[in-house]
Amino acid sequence: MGDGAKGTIASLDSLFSPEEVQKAALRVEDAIADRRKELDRLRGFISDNSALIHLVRKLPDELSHDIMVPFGSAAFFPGRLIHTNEFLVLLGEGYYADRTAKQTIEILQRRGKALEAQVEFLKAMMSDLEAESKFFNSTATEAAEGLVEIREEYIEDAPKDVSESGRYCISVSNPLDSSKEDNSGKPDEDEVHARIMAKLDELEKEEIEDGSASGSDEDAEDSFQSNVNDDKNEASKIADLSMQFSTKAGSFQCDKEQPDSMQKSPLPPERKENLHKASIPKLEDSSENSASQTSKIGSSSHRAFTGSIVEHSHGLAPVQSAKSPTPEQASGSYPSKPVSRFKMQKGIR
Amino acid sequence: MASSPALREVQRDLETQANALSKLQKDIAKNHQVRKQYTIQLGENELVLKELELLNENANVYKLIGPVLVKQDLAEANANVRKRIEYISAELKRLDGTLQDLEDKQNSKRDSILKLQQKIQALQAGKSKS
Repeated sequence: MGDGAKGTIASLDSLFSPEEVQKAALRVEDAIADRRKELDRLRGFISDNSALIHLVRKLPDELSHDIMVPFGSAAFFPGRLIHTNEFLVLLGEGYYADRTAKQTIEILQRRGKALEAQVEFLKAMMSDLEAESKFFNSTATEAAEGLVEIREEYIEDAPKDVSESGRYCISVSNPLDSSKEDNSGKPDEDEVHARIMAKLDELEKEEIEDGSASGSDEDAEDSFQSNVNDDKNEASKIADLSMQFSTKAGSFQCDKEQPDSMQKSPLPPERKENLHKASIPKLEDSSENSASQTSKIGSSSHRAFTGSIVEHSHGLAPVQSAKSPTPEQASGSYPSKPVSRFKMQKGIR
Repeated sequence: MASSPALREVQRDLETQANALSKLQKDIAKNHQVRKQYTIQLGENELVLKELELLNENANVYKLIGPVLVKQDLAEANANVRKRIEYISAELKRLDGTLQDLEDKQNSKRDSILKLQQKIQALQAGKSKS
Protein backbone atom coordinates (compact mmCIF):
# COMPACT_ATOMS: atom_id res chain seq x y z
CA MET A 1 0.00 0.00 0.00
CA GLY A 2 1.26 3.39 -0.91
CA ASP A 3 -0.04 5.25 2.12
CA GLY A 4 0.60 2.80 4.88
CA ALA A 5 -0.89 5.06 7.49
CA LYS A 6 -4.33 4.24 6.22
CA GLY A 7 -4.56 0.62 7.24
CA THR A 8 -2.78 -2.45 8.49
CA ILE A 9 -2.09 -5.76 6.85
CA ALA A 10 -1.81 -8.93 8.83
CA SER A 11 -1.46 -12.32 7.29
CA LEU A 12 -3.97 -14.84 8.60
CA ASP A 13 -0.99 -17.04 9.16
CA SER A 14 0.24 -14.81 11.95
CA LEU A 15 -3.19 -14.25 13.46
CA PHE A 16 -4.10 -17.91 13.67
CA SER A 17 -1.16 -20.21 13.74
CA PRO A 18 -1.82 -23.35 11.69
CA GLU A 19 -1.25 -25.63 14.67
CA GLU A 20 -3.83 -23.81 16.71
CA VAL A 21 -6.35 -23.96 13.93
CA GLN A 22 -5.64 -27.64 13.45
CA LYS A 23 -6.12 -28.24 17.16
CA ALA A 24 -9.40 -26.40 17.21
CA ALA A 25 -10.60 -28.28 14.15
CA LEU A 26 -9.58 -31.55 15.75
CA ARG A 27 -11.45 -30.75 18.91
CA VAL A 28 -14.59 -29.96 16.99
CA GLU A 29 -14.15 -33.14 15.00
CA ASP A 30 -13.95 -35.07 18.24
CA ALA A 31 -17.12 -33.46 19.48
CA ILE A 32 -18.83 -34.38 16.24
CA ALA A 33 -17.63 -37.96 16.54
CA ASP A 34 -19.05 -38.12 20.08
CA ARG A 35 -22.37 -36.84 18.89
CA ARG A 36 -22.35 -39.30 16.05
CA LYS A 37 -21.80 -42.16 18.46
CA GLU A 38 -24.64 -40.91 20.59
CA LEU A 39 -26.82 -40.66 17.53
CA ASP A 40 -25.98 -44.22 16.55
CA ARG A 41 -26.87 -45.38 20.04
CA LEU A 42 -30.20 -43.62 19.86
CA ARG A 43 -30.85 -45.10 16.43
CA GLY A 44 -30.18 -48.52 17.93
CA PHE A 45 -32.73 -47.79 20.65
CA ILE A 46 -35.26 -46.75 18.11
CA SER A 47 -34.85 -49.89 16.03
CA ASP A 48 -35.02 -52.02 19.20
CA ASN A 49 -38.14 -50.23 20.21
CA SER A 50 -39.85 -50.72 16.88
CA ALA A 51 -38.87 -54.40 16.88
CA LEU A 52 -40.34 -54.75 20.35
CA ILE A 53 -43.54 -53.06 19.28
CA HIS A 54 -43.77 -55.49 16.40
CA LEU A 55 -43.25 -58.45 18.75
CA VAL A 56 -45.74 -57.25 21.34
CA ARG A 57 -48.30 -56.74 18.62
CA LYS A 58 -47.89 -60.32 17.45
CA LEU A 59 -47.74 -62.12 20.79
CA PRO A 60 -51.42 -62.02 21.71
CA ASP A 61 -52.30 -63.51 18.32
CA GLU A 62 -51.74 -66.95 19.81
CA LEU A 63 -52.85 -68.31 23.14
CA SER A 64 -49.39 -69.73 23.86
CA HIS A 65 -45.94 -69.78 22.28
CA ASP A 66 -43.26 -72.43 22.37
CA ILE A 67 -40.06 -70.74 23.41
CA MET A 68 -36.61 -71.45 24.74
CA VAL A 69 -36.43 -70.12 28.27
CA PRO A 70 -33.07 -68.79 29.34
CA PHE A 71 -31.84 -70.39 32.52
CA GLY A 72 -29.13 -68.28 34.00
CA SER A 73 -26.60 -67.17 31.47
CA ALA A 74 -25.50 -70.62 30.46
CA ALA A 75 -28.47 -72.67 29.42
CA PHE A 76 -31.89 -72.65 27.81
CA PHE A 77 -34.69 -75.11 28.21
CA PRO A 78 -37.86 -75.46 26.23
CA GLY A 79 -40.95 -73.86 27.66
CA ARG A 80 -44.27 -72.38 26.83
CA LEU A 81 -45.31 -68.77 26.92
CA ILE A 82 -48.84 -68.36 28.23
CA HIS A 83 -50.90 -65.33 29.20
CA THR A 84 -49.79 -63.72 25.97
CA ASN A 85 -51.82 -60.61 26.64
CA GLU A 86 -50.29 -59.74 29.99
CA PHE A 87 -47.17 -57.66 30.23
CA LEU A 88 -45.21 -56.31 33.11
CA VAL A 89 -43.78 -53.12 31.71
CA LEU A 90 -40.85 -51.33 33.23
CA LEU A 91 -41.75 -47.67 33.38
CA GLY A 92 -38.36 -46.60 34.65
CA GLU A 93 -36.93 -45.87 38.07
CA GLY A 94 -37.83 -49.39 39.20
CA TYR A 95 -41.55 -48.97 38.63
CA TYR A 96 -43.42 -51.70 36.82
CA ALA A 97 -47.01 -51.87 35.71
CA ASP A 98 -49.26 -54.67 34.55
CA ARG A 99 -50.43 -53.91 31.07
CA THR A 100 -52.16 -55.53 28.15
CA ALA A 101 -50.47 -55.86 24.78
CA LYS A 102 -52.36 -52.88 23.41
CA GLN A 103 -51.48 -50.63 26.32
CA THR A 104 -47.88 -51.79 26.11
CA ILE A 105 -47.72 -50.81 22.48
CA GLU A 106 -49.01 -47.38 23.39
CA ILE A 107 -46.31 -46.98 26.00
CA LEU A 108 -43.64 -48.12 23.59
CA GLN A 109 -44.85 -45.73 20.93
CA ARG A 110 -44.64 -42.82 23.35
CA ARG A 111 -41.12 -43.87 24.16
CA GLY A 112 -40.29 -43.99 20.48
CA LYS A 113 -41.51 -40.43 20.10
CA ALA A 114 -39.27 -39.26 22.92
CA LEU A 115 -36.35 -40.97 21.22
CA GLU A 116 -37.14 -39.27 17.93
CA ALA A 117 -37.13 -35.91 19.65
CA GLN A 118 -33.72 -36.67 21.09
CA VAL A 119 -32.44 -37.66 17.67
CA GLU A 120 -33.64 -34.38 16.20
CA PHE A 121 -31.92 -32.46 18.95
CA LEU A 122 -28.68 -34.31 18.33
CA LYS A 123 -28.89 -33.71 14.61
CA ALA A 124 -29.28 -29.98 15.12
CA MET A 125 -26.31 -30.00 17.45
CA MET A 126 -24.25 -31.91 14.92
CA SER A 127 -25.07 -29.53 12.11
CA ASP A 128 -23.94 -26.68 14.34
CA LEU A 129 -20.68 -28.41 15.07
CA GLU A 130 -20.15 -29.26 11.44
CA ALA A 131 -20.54 -25.63 10.47
CA GLU A 132 -17.97 -24.78 13.11
CA SER A 133 -15.49 -27.32 11.82
CA LYS A 134 -16.03 -26.12 8.30
CA PHE A 135 -15.16 -22.62 9.43
CA PHE A 136 -12.01 -23.87 11.12
CA ASN A 137 -10.97 -25.80 8.07
CA SER A 138 -11.53 -22.89 5.75
CA THR A 139 -9.54 -20.68 8.09
CA ALA A 140 -6.73 -23.22 8.10
CA THR A 141 -6.62 -23.40 4.33
CA GLU A 142 -6.79 -19.64 4.02
CA ALA A 143 -3.92 -19.27 6.44
CA ALA A 144 -1.98 -21.87 4.49
CA GLU A 145 -2.62 -20.03 1.25
CA GLY A 146 -1.12 -16.90 2.75
CA LEU A 147 -4.26 -14.87 2.77
CA VAL A 148 -3.89 -11.51 4.45
CA GLU A 149 -6.29 -9.50 6.49
CA ILE A 150 -6.44 -5.84 5.61
CA ARG A 151 -7.84 -3.49 8.14
CA GLU A 152 -8.54 0.04 7.16
CA GLU A 153 -10.20 2.69 9.24
CA TYR A 154 -13.14 4.17 7.49
CA ILE A 155 -12.68 7.91 7.36
CA GLU A 156 -15.36 9.92 5.72
CA ASP A 157 -13.43 12.17 3.38
CA ALA A 158 -15.46 15.33 3.35
CA PRO A 159 -14.29 17.62 0.59
CA LYS A 160 -12.90 20.74 2.21
CA ASP A 161 -14.21 22.98 -0.52
CA VAL A 162 -17.79 22.20 0.32
CA SER A 163 -17.76 24.49 3.29
CA GLU A 164 -16.74 27.31 1.07
CA SER A 165 -19.02 26.70 -1.87
CA GLY A 166 -21.61 24.65 -0.02
CA ARG A 167 -23.55 27.71 0.85
CA TYR A 168 -24.83 27.85 -2.69
CA CYS A 169 -26.02 24.37 -3.11
CA ILE A 170 -24.63 20.90 -3.01
CA SER A 171 -25.35 20.00 -6.59
CA VAL A 172 -23.39 23.00 -7.70
CA SER A 173 -20.53 22.81 -5.26
CA ASN A 174 -19.01 19.56 -6.42
CA PRO A 175 -18.75 20.41 -10.09
CA LEU A 176 -17.41 23.76 -9.01
CA ASP A 177 -14.60 22.17 -7.09
CA SER A 178 -13.64 19.90 -9.90
CA SER A 179 -13.73 22.66 -12.45
CA LYS A 180 -11.65 24.84 -10.22
CA GLU A 181 -9.03 22.20 -10.10
CA ASP A 182 -9.26 21.53 -13.80
CA ASN A 183 -8.72 25.02 -15.06
CA SER A 184 -7.63 27.28 -12.32
CA GLY A 185 -7.58 30.17 -14.75
CA LYS A 186 -11.34 30.69 -14.53
CA PRO A 187 -12.41 30.06 -10.99
CA ASP A 188 -14.14 33.36 -10.61
CA GLU A 189 -16.33 32.80 -13.58
CA ASP A 190 -17.39 29.46 -12.28
CA GLU A 191 -18.25 30.87 -8.96
CA VAL A 192 -20.16 33.75 -10.38
CA HIS A 193 -21.98 31.38 -12.65
CA ALA A 194 -22.93 29.20 -9.77
CA ARG A 195 -24.19 32.15 -7.85
CA ILE A 196 -26.27 33.32 -10.71
CA MET A 197 -27.69 29.90 -11.28
CA ALA A 198 -28.62 29.70 -7.64
CA LYS A 199 -30.16 33.11 -7.80
CA LEU A 200 -32.08 32.22 -10.91
CA ASP A 201 -33.49 29.11 -9.38
CA GLU A 202 -34.39 30.90 -6.24
CA LEU A 203 -36.24 33.63 -7.94
CA GLU A 204 -38.09 31.19 -10.10
CA LYS A 205 -39.20 29.29 -7.08
CA GLU A 206 -40.36 32.46 -5.45
CA GLU A 207 -42.50 33.18 -8.38
CA ILE A 208 -43.82 29.72 -8.62
CA GLU A 209 -44.85 29.89 -5.02
CA ASP A 210 -46.65 33.10 -5.57
CA GLY A 211 -48.28 31.66 -8.62
CA SER A 212 -48.11 35.03 -10.20
CA ALA A 213 -48.04 35.83 -13.88
CA SER A 214 -45.42 37.86 -15.70
CA GLY A 215 -46.35 40.85 -13.60
CA SER A 216 -44.87 39.33 -10.47
CA ASP A 217 -42.12 41.89 -10.41
CA GLU A 218 -43.41 43.24 -7.15
CA ASP A 219 -42.18 40.09 -5.56
CA ALA A 220 -38.72 40.72 -6.81
CA GLU A 221 -36.60 43.18 -5.00
CA ASP A 222 -37.67 46.77 -5.40
CA SER A 223 -34.48 47.95 -6.99
CA PHE A 224 -35.10 45.74 -9.99
CA GLN A 225 -38.71 46.49 -10.59
CA SER A 226 -38.10 49.06 -13.18
CA ASN A 227 -35.74 46.80 -15.03
CA VAL A 228 -38.11 43.95 -15.18
CA ASN A 229 -40.69 45.53 -17.36
CA ASP A 230 -38.18 47.18 -19.56
CA ASP A 231 -37.69 44.65 -22.26
CA LYS A 232 -34.72 46.25 -23.84
CA ASN A 233 -32.96 46.68 -20.60
CA GLU A 234 -33.54 43.13 -19.70
CA ALA A 235 -32.46 41.77 -23.01
CA SER A 236 -29.21 43.63 -22.83
CA LYS A 237 -28.66 42.34 -19.37
CA ILE A 238 -29.27 38.84 -20.50
CA ALA A 239 -26.76 39.41 -23.21
CA ASP A 240 -24.30 40.60 -20.61
CA LEU A 241 -24.99 37.65 -18.51
CA SER A 242 -24.53 35.18 -21.29
CA MET A 243 -21.37 36.87 -22.44
CA GLN A 244 -20.04 36.78 -18.97
CA PHE A 245 -20.44 33.05 -18.82
CA SER A 246 -19.79 32.33 -22.39
CA THR A 247 -17.04 29.94 -21.45
CA LYS A 248 -19.43 27.51 -19.90
CA ALA A 249 -21.37 25.04 -21.90
CA GLY A 250 -23.54 24.51 -18.86
CA SER A 251 -24.79 28.02 -18.86
CA PHE A 252 -25.75 27.58 -22.44
CA GLN A 253 -27.74 24.52 -21.60
CA CYS A 254 -29.58 26.42 -18.97
CA ASP A 255 -30.37 29.25 -21.26
CA LYS A 256 -31.49 26.92 -23.92
CA GLU A 257 -34.38 26.02 -21.73
CA GLN A 258 -35.38 29.56 -21.28
CA PRO A 259 -36.36 30.43 -24.84
CA ASP A 260 -38.83 27.54 -24.73
CA SER A 261 -40.53 28.88 -21.71
CA MET A 262 -40.36 32.32 -23.17
CA GLN A 263 -42.52 31.29 -26.02
CA LYS A 264 -45.20 30.31 -23.63
CA SER A 265 -44.97 33.55 -21.77
CA PRO A 266 -46.80 36.58 -23.10
CA LEU A 267 -43.70 38.42 -24.16
CA PRO A 268 -43.32 40.94 -26.91
CA PRO A 269 -41.75 39.36 -30.00
CA GLU A 270 -38.79 41.71 -30.05
CA ARG A 271 -37.78 40.44 -26.70
CA LYS A 272 -37.62 36.90 -27.92
CA GLU A 273 -35.37 38.00 -30.70
CA ASN A 274 -33.07 39.64 -28.26
CA LEU A 275 -32.98 36.55 -26.23
CA HIS A 276 -32.00 34.42 -29.16
CA LYS A 277 -29.36 36.86 -30.10
CA ALA A 278 -28.06 36.73 -26.64
CA SER A 279 -27.77 33.02 -26.64
CA ILE A 280 -26.13 32.71 -29.99
CA PRO A 281 -22.85 34.43 -29.23
CA LYS A 282 -22.67 32.36 -26.16
CA LEU A 283 -22.92 29.21 -28.14
CA GLU A 284 -20.14 30.32 -30.38
CA ASP A 285 -17.93 31.27 -27.51
CA SER A 286 -18.46 28.06 -25.74
CA SER A 287 -17.60 26.12 -28.84
CA GLU A 288 -14.40 28.07 -29.11
CA ASN A 289 -13.44 27.33 -25.61
CA SER A 290 -14.60 23.76 -25.62
CA ALA A 291 -11.29 22.62 -27.08
CA SER A 292 -9.43 23.82 -24.04
CA GLN A 293 -12.09 22.59 -21.70
CA THR A 294 -12.37 18.93 -22.37
CA SER A 295 -11.99 18.24 -18.71
CA LYS A 296 -14.82 20.59 -17.94
CA ILE A 297 -17.39 18.68 -19.84
CA GLY A 298 -18.03 16.42 -16.95
CA SER A 299 -18.62 19.29 -14.62
CA SER A 300 -20.72 21.13 -17.14
CA SER A 301 -23.01 18.17 -17.27
CA HIS A 302 -23.40 18.61 -13.56
CA ARG A 303 -24.22 22.17 -14.13
CA ALA A 304 -26.82 21.06 -16.55
CA PHE A 305 -28.46 19.55 -13.56
CA THR A 306 -28.77 22.91 -11.89
CA GLY A 307 -30.28 23.97 -15.15
CA SER A 308 -32.69 21.10 -14.94
CA ILE A 309 -34.19 22.67 -11.88
CA VAL A 310 -35.32 25.32 -14.29
CA GLU A 311 -37.29 22.62 -16.01
CA HIS A 312 -39.55 22.31 -13.01
CA SER A 313 -40.86 25.73 -13.74
CA HIS A 314 -41.09 24.91 -17.40
CA GLY A 315 -44.78 25.26 -17.77
CA LEU A 316 -44.90 28.46 -15.78
CA ALA A 317 -44.99 31.69 -17.61
CA PRO A 318 -43.10 34.23 -15.50
CA VAL A 319 -39.62 32.97 -16.18
CA GLN A 320 -38.50 36.21 -17.66
CA SER A 321 -38.94 38.18 -14.52
CA ALA A 322 -36.88 35.63 -12.69
CA LYS A 323 -34.12 36.02 -15.16
CA SER A 324 -34.19 39.74 -15.48
CA PRO A 325 -33.04 40.79 -12.06
CA THR A 326 -30.30 38.23 -12.06
CA PRO A 327 -27.39 40.18 -13.49
CA GLU A 328 -27.58 42.83 -10.86
CA GLN A 329 -28.45 40.50 -8.09
CA ALA A 330 -25.50 38.40 -8.98
CA SER A 331 -23.36 41.12 -7.55
CA GLY A 332 -25.73 41.60 -4.64
CA SER A 333 -26.03 39.59 -1.46
CA TYR A 334 -26.52 35.95 -2.30
CA PRO A 335 -25.04 34.02 0.53
CA SER A 336 -28.24 34.10 2.50
CA LYS A 337 -30.45 33.41 -0.47
CA PRO A 338 -29.56 29.86 -1.39
CA VAL A 339 -30.80 28.75 1.98
CA SER A 340 -34.24 29.87 1.09
CA ARG A 341 -33.81 28.25 -2.24
CA PHE A 342 -33.78 24.85 -0.64
CA LYS A 343 -36.91 25.68 1.17
CA MET A 344 -38.47 26.62 -2.11
CA GLN A 345 -37.48 23.35 -3.64
CA LYS A 346 -39.17 21.53 -0.84
CA GLY A 347 -42.25 23.66 -1.16
CA ILE A 348 -42.61 22.81 -4.81
CA ARG A 349 -42.14 19.09 -4.54
CA MET B 1 21.23 -11.86 43.08
CA ALA B 2 19.01 -9.77 45.29
CA SER B 3 15.95 -10.53 43.16
CA SER B 4 16.49 -14.26 43.21
CA PRO B 5 14.80 -15.04 46.53
CA ALA B 6 11.85 -12.87 45.60
CA LEU B 7 11.61 -14.61 42.27
CA ARG B 8 11.70 -18.00 43.94
CA GLU B 9 8.94 -16.99 46.29
CA VAL B 10 6.77 -15.79 43.48
CA GLN B 11 7.35 -19.01 41.61
CA ARG B 12 6.36 -21.04 44.65
CA ASP B 13 3.27 -18.93 44.96
CA LEU B 14 2.45 -19.53 41.35
CA GLU B 15 2.83 -23.26 41.78
CA THR B 16 0.38 -23.39 44.67
CA GLN B 17 -2.07 -21.26 42.77
CA ALA B 18 -1.82 -23.49 39.74
CA ASN B 19 -2.47 -26.52 41.93
CA ALA B 20 -5.52 -24.88 43.39
CA LEU B 21 -6.76 -24.03 39.92
CA SER B 22 -6.38 -27.58 38.67
CA LYS B 23 -8.25 -28.81 41.73
CA LEU B 24 -11.04 -26.38 41.02
CA GLN B 25 -11.20 -27.52 37.45
CA LYS B 26 -11.44 -31.12 38.60
CA ASP B 27 -14.28 -30.16 40.90
CA ILE B 28 -16.08 -28.44 38.09
CA ALA B 29 -15.73 -31.47 35.85
CA LYS B 30 -17.09 -33.69 38.63
CA ASN B 31 -19.94 -31.31 39.16
CA HIS B 32 -20.76 -31.47 35.49
CA GLN B 33 -20.78 -35.25 35.61
CA VAL B 34 -23.15 -35.35 38.57
CA ARG B 35 -25.35 -32.78 36.98
CA LYS B 36 -25.60 -34.79 33.80
CA GLN B 37 -26.63 -37.85 35.77
CA TYR B 38 -29.29 -35.93 37.60
CA THR B 39 -30.71 -34.49 34.42
CA ILE B 40 -31.00 -37.97 32.97
CA GLN B 41 -32.78 -39.18 36.08
CA LEU B 42 -35.09 -36.22 35.96
CA GLY B 43 -36.04 -37.04 32.40
CA GLU B 44 -36.69 -40.67 33.33
CA ASN B 45 -38.82 -39.72 36.28
CA GLU B 46 -40.85 -37.36 34.23
CA LEU B 47 -41.46 -40.14 31.75
CA VAL B 48 -42.57 -42.46 34.56
CA LEU B 49 -44.90 -39.85 35.94
CA LYS B 50 -46.49 -39.37 32.57
CA GLU B 51 -47.06 -43.10 32.21
CA LEU B 52 -48.40 -43.42 35.72
CA GLU B 53 -50.88 -40.69 35.08
CA LEU B 54 -52.08 -42.55 32.00
CA LEU B 55 -52.78 -45.72 33.97
CA ASN B 56 -56.25 -46.58 35.22
CA GLU B 57 -57.13 -46.47 38.84
CA ASN B 58 -57.11 -50.22 39.33
CA ALA B 59 -53.91 -50.96 37.41
CA ASN B 60 -51.28 -53.01 39.24
CA VAL B 61 -48.07 -51.09 39.86
CA TYR B 62 -44.95 -52.70 41.25
CA LYS B 63 -41.74 -51.25 42.53
CA LEU B 64 -38.51 -53.18 42.19
CA ILE B 65 -36.80 -53.10 45.57
CA GLY B 66 -33.62 -55.07 45.45
CA PRO B 67 -34.48 -58.46 43.95
CA VAL B 68 -38.21 -58.37 44.66
CA LEU B 69 -41.13 -56.67 43.07
CA VAL B 70 -43.31 -55.03 45.68
CA LYS B 71 -46.86 -54.21 44.76
CA GLN B 72 -47.65 -50.59 45.29
CA ASP B 73 -50.69 -48.46 45.30
CA LEU B 74 -50.94 -46.33 42.18
CA ALA B 75 -51.51 -43.14 44.18
CA GLU B 76 -48.56 -43.96 46.37
CA ALA B 77 -46.31 -44.61 43.39
CA ASN B 78 -47.47 -41.36 41.85
CA ALA B 79 -46.70 -39.41 44.99
CA ASN B 80 -43.31 -41.09 45.28
CA VAL B 81 -42.35 -40.19 41.76
CA ARG B 82 -43.48 -36.62 42.27
CA LYS B 83 -41.41 -36.35 45.39
CA ARG B 84 -38.42 -37.77 43.60
CA ILE B 85 -38.77 -35.24 40.78
CA GLU B 86 -38.94 -32.46 43.35
CA TYR B 87 -35.83 -33.73 45.04
CA ILE B 88 -33.91 -34.00 41.80
CA SER B 89 -34.92 -30.51 40.75
CA ALA B 90 -33.74 -29.12 44.07
CA GLU B 91 -30.50 -31.01 43.71
CA LEU B 92 -29.97 -29.63 40.23
CA LYS B 93 -30.52 -26.12 41.49
CA ARG B 94 -28.02 -26.66 44.25
CA LEU B 95 -25.51 -28.05 41.78
CA ASP B 96 -26.01 -25.01 39.56
CA GLY B 97 -25.25 -22.76 42.50
CA THR B 98 -22.07 -24.59 43.42
CA LEU B 99 -21.01 -24.69 39.79
CA GLN B 100 -21.40 -20.94 39.54
CA ASP B 101 -19.40 -20.53 42.70
CA LEU B 102 -16.65 -22.79 41.44
CA GLU B 103 -16.45 -21.01 38.15
CA ASP B 104 -16.13 -17.65 39.87
CA LYS B 105 -13.34 -19.04 41.97
CA GLN B 106 -11.68 -20.47 38.91
CA ASN B 107 -11.75 -17.14 37.14
CA SER B 108 -10.27 -15.29 40.09
CA LYS B 109 -7.55 -17.93 40.39
CA ARG B 110 -6.79 -17.62 36.74
CA ASP B 111 -6.46 -13.88 37.07
CA SER B 112 -4.10 -14.17 40.01
CA ILE B 113 -2.00 -16.71 38.13
CA LEU B 114 -1.78 -14.39 35.16
CA LYS B 115 -0.64 -11.60 37.43
CA LEU B 116 1.98 -13.82 38.99
CA GLN B 117 3.27 -14.83 35.60
CA GLN B 118 3.60 -11.20 34.59
CA LYS B 119 5.44 -10.51 37.83
CA ILE B 120 7.85 -13.32 37.15
CA GLN B 121 8.46 -12.06 33.66
CA ALA B 122 9.14 -8.58 34.97
CA LEU B 123 11.51 -9.95 37.57
CA GLN B 124 13.36 -12.04 35.01
CA ALA B 125 13.63 -9.09 32.65
CA GLY B 126 15.02 -6.95 35.45
CA LYS B 127 17.51 -9.65 36.36
CA SER B 128 18.77 -10.10 32.82
CA LYS B 129 19.25 -6.34 32.47
CA SER B 130 21.20 -5.89 35.68
